[in-house]
Amino acid sequence: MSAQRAIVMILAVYVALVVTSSLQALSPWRIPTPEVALLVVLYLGLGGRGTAPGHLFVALVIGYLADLFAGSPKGLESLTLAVAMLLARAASSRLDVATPWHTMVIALVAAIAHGLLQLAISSSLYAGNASAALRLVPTTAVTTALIAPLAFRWLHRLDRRLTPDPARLRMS
Amino acid sequence: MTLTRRARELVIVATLLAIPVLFLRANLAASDHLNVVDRAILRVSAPLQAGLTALVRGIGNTWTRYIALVHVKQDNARLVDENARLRAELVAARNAAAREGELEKLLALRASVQFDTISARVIAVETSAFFRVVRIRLDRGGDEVKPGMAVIASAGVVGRVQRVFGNWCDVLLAADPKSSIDVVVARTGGRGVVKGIAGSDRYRTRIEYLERKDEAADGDLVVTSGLGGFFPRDLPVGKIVKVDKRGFGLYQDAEVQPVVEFGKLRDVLVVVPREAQPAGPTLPPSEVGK
Repeated sequence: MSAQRAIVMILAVYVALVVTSSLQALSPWRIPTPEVALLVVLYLGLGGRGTAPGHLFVALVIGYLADLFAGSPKGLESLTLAVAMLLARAASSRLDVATPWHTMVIALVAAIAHGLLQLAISSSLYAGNASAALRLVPTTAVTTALIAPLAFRWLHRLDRRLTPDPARLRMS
Repeated sequence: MTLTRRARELVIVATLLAIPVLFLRANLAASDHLNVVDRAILRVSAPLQAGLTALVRGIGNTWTRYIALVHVKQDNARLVDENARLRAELVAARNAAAREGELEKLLALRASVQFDTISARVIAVETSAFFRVVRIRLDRGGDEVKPGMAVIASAGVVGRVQRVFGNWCDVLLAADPKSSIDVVVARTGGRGVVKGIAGSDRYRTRIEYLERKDEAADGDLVVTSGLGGFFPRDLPVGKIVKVDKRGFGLYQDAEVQPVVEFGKLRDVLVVVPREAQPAGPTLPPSEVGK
């Protein structure tokens, strides 16, 4: 993965985190927040381009940013997103992500797995109340899945802008 | 890919994975430490969040007034312009009055609390489903604020300062699973610890370590005990809504409905303890539970 692409993806996550955290503050109710950082990690991992260490490094930076905005202990999002990146890379050659439905199903499964992994790692904080936290996993996963096709399409457009146009390259 | 290259990649991957594990190990219990990079990112982000929140609030207010104008126009065909103007002014005046009422309560609280306080405004909330943290902008004196300090609103306890960066703070709400506040049941005097209920889709708390002999009941007010020196004594925390009476053990648990509506939280006060704080009640009895 090129440094430019990595920086753009990290900036995209940063902007998304600023926007979601600010908008949530205006709502009198708790709205399930989609896991935007996870979606970017999934997009990069399923794309499969680049080396594993490069991808992992980007996932760690994205996770670090997510930790700063999530109120979670530092390292929790980094670790779970790094694991998600490795799994997405490993599955990239076996998964068909051709339609929005495919994207939604993959995002749903990934968000559930991500939520469960987070709960398992931070279980010491919950002191017997993990069942309440467990109930939040499906709602967050559904929200994440619902916006996944839109997020993937938007990230794809970003990617296309970063990639030089082959026709122009030939002309020059 | 050659075997050597593959092995090198594996070593790098393992090393990179070890970084968050080590971070997590160090931060799972106490997450108030911020390094230089954390501070830099948060100091850049907080004004952006504040600006975005203010912008959306402004757009929302304009939109609300426009809708009000449309309704008036439909209902009062002959007096469209006049009614629209008056109604818009009324809405603005009501909003201003409501806001002033909140601020007056906050000022009254500020006067009654015998601690120094710094006013602040909520600008953002956490993005994780499992934690309950809000970001606030202090009106002054970021240097005086330290992690652990109490944050209160006109209704009662909000939480504690988790980390400070410049004039911005992250506040761990009382409803967060990492939060614990020493409390007293006002009616019985029974002591306990209020903790957040993890991952609830509402802002919920429960009181733990409440001795079984304490006859706590639904509707009982729970107030701060004042122990620890950060929270003033007798500040309302919540009301007991469900007592879990067990037939065994030393303690009973109870679910507590916070008195503060965290979802509607806008203006708060950070309590700065004075070192030479005299002992004794910090709120007049008439203020308890209001």
